[in-house]
Amino acid sequence: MGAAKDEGVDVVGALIGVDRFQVDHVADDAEFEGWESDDPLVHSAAALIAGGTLTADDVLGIYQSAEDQCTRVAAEAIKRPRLQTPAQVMASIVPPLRPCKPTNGPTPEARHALFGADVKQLDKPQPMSRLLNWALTDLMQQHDEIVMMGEDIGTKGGVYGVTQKLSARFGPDRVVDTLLDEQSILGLAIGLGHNGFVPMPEIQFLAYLHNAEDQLRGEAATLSFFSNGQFTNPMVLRIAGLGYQEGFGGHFHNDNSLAVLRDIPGIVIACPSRGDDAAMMMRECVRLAREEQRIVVMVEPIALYPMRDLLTEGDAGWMTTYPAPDRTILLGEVGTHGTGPLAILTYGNGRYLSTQAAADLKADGIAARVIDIRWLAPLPTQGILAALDGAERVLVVDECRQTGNQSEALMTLLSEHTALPHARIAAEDSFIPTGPAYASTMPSRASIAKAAKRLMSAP
Amino acid sequence: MKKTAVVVAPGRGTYNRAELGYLKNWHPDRTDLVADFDDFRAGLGQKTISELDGAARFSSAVHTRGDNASPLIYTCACADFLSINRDQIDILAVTGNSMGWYTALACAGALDPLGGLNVANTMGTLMQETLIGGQLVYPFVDDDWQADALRHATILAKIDEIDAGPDAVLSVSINLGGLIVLAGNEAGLSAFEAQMPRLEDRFPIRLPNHAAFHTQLQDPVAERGRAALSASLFAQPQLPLIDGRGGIWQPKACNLNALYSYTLGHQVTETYDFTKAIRTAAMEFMPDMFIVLGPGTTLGGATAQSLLLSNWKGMNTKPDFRTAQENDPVLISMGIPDQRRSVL
Repeated sequence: MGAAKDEGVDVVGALIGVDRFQVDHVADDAEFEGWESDDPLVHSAAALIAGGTLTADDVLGIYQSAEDQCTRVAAEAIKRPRLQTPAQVMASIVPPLRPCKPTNGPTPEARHALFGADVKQLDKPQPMSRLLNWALTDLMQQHDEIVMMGEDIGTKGGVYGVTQKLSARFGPDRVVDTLLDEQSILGLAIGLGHNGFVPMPEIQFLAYLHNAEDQLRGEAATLSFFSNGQFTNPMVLRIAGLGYQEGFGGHFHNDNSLAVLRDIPGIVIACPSRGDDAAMMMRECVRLAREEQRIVVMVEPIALYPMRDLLTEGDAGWMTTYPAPDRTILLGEVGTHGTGPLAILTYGNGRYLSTQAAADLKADGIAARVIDIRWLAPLPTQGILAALDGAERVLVVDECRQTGNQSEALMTLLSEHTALPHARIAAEDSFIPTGPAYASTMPSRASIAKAAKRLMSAP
Repeated sequence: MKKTAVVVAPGRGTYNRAELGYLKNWHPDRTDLVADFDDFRAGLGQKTISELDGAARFSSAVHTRGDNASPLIYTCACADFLSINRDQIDILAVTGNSMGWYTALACAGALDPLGGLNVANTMGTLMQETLIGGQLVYPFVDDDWQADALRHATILAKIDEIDAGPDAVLSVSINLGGLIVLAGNEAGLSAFEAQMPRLEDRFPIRLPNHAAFHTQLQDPVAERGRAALSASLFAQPQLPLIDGRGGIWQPKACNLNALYSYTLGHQVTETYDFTKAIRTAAMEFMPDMFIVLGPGTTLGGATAQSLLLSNWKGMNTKPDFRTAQENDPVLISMGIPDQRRSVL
């Protein structure tokens, strides 16, 4: 059998859900009719008739009335004015705002009771995983429409403990342990989003998102667009991801590319670099989903979940206390640390490593400011340009791959909007390896400092 | 070719002086239906429908009381529905405004005629016995039926502000096309009257003998309604129904317990969104026309405004609507004799 015929069979098989391995010849009419008679609608009708609920004429009547209805609606829909301009086409990519009843939130007593023994820890410095956990705890108490779903997020409390105690505090119907199937997780989130909930699905590892990419790209993100904002499925998708995870996973779990998300119109991508930022950004993410019906993805850097120290062992330089529940970091708000003429434009693990490198550079007489862009999409152009005020040269540090990732957008932004000399250091176009070389393809404290010196010493 | 139509049943306040004798004049041949209803009322010691409709003079004190107005309006509307020429007109769905929901249930066959009367009569009587709070109407469209978004937002903000006060209760009772029907207690209603500008020299207008329908204040009425009326009154409808949330109840596929619960629960105690019901009817069923049952003619305006607010068939303005009406009427009010004839 020729290749062309094989392809034809595969397409037909895919269309009607027949496994390609069951089909080794071109189907004839009788075979098509056989498949058609297996249509679930036909089975449903047969069951209703067999059960005495409907007669065959009733069924045909329902079919006919549905067809008539579609015909009437189509005849009018076709008369509607057609969109003409990009602005008209794009107007519904970002969904409309929805009114949310104002609330005073839980009483201090209720919050105290919920946090229990954790209350005593709230004013002590903690790593990111703990602060995220508390932020989620507060948010779930404030908004009972939040429902979480993911692999091992309930009883186990998440692979990295970010959802610890949430199931015990809010019950298994709000913190759903799902099948090991990313399409189901996002499908459940989409359905809950349709029905007025604020779903917060978790994808356990960034590399797992690819199985279910189309649930975001083709389904969730397009709903407002093709329904002119009439239907929405807001959510805050949490994804543990990015590189630098020592001793675990390789490319099966870890990935350092966000290209799968970056080009989807309308979605918001958040990537925090420290616990306090993470908690405040999570609050904004939930607000964006709840009030603005946005689809928000927070990529949480796994390597920073437990990070305690910054420059030397035991310095506790990367832990912070829990920001009060009313504090937030707004979409588009970037973080600037330092005032030096060298601006390092980065995010996520890049901010952590650049902060280390900045300390080393200072010893060499180079003063740097580290700008954490925090929001990867939409790119906070105005915030970045404001943060660059007074800077003389700009180094872009991107832990993600050179191709298709943030450094490309930042280099473009710099050349389109500024006259500042700029350079980038980004990861090689490689998958994440296992073993001791786990971080070798990505920027490091040393390679960032080296790139910075090269940029500053260039004529 | 048969025309297609969605039928709209009117709510309270539609049987007034001009409608006195509606049944006698328009439905002299429906004596069986009216006799059954009269027996039902007589059995409860209430004035019969025939007595009310055949009274020598209209009396607000008598005819607008809930225990009289509801069954009277229900009877007129049912009789009008039965008069529609089904050989010429294909009825796609039925909806209603406020107590018009009870009529719609009967038109669709989810309640039999007497069952529908029982529901309308019981709920009207309970409303009258308790008479909790009241209603007023206030527009957010101008003379040309153009929505004023700022005024709309101002009205809603004022409702929230007043309702937040210590003694006042006020909320949206019905979204009625270009009008908002507000309901609340006396403190809430009079605060709104005092604080909002007078419009067109008549708004806000209080609705006499109306209670705070479609608000939480009616919880006790809903509870007594559920105690008095059984779910066994309900049957599968023969036509699709569109409720006061804009939801569709399909024939052969209704959960009758849910239909009962909605009718004597949410429908009584939450905002009735007539505008959304018309929008759903218009967009989903795309009929050639809407037929508003009598008595009365006032629901036609709200129906037309709801269609314009939905930009139905490209209509945005009052002149758009007038043009459509002149060419091929999209709205027939059976309470208007000339229009009525076209659907008989």
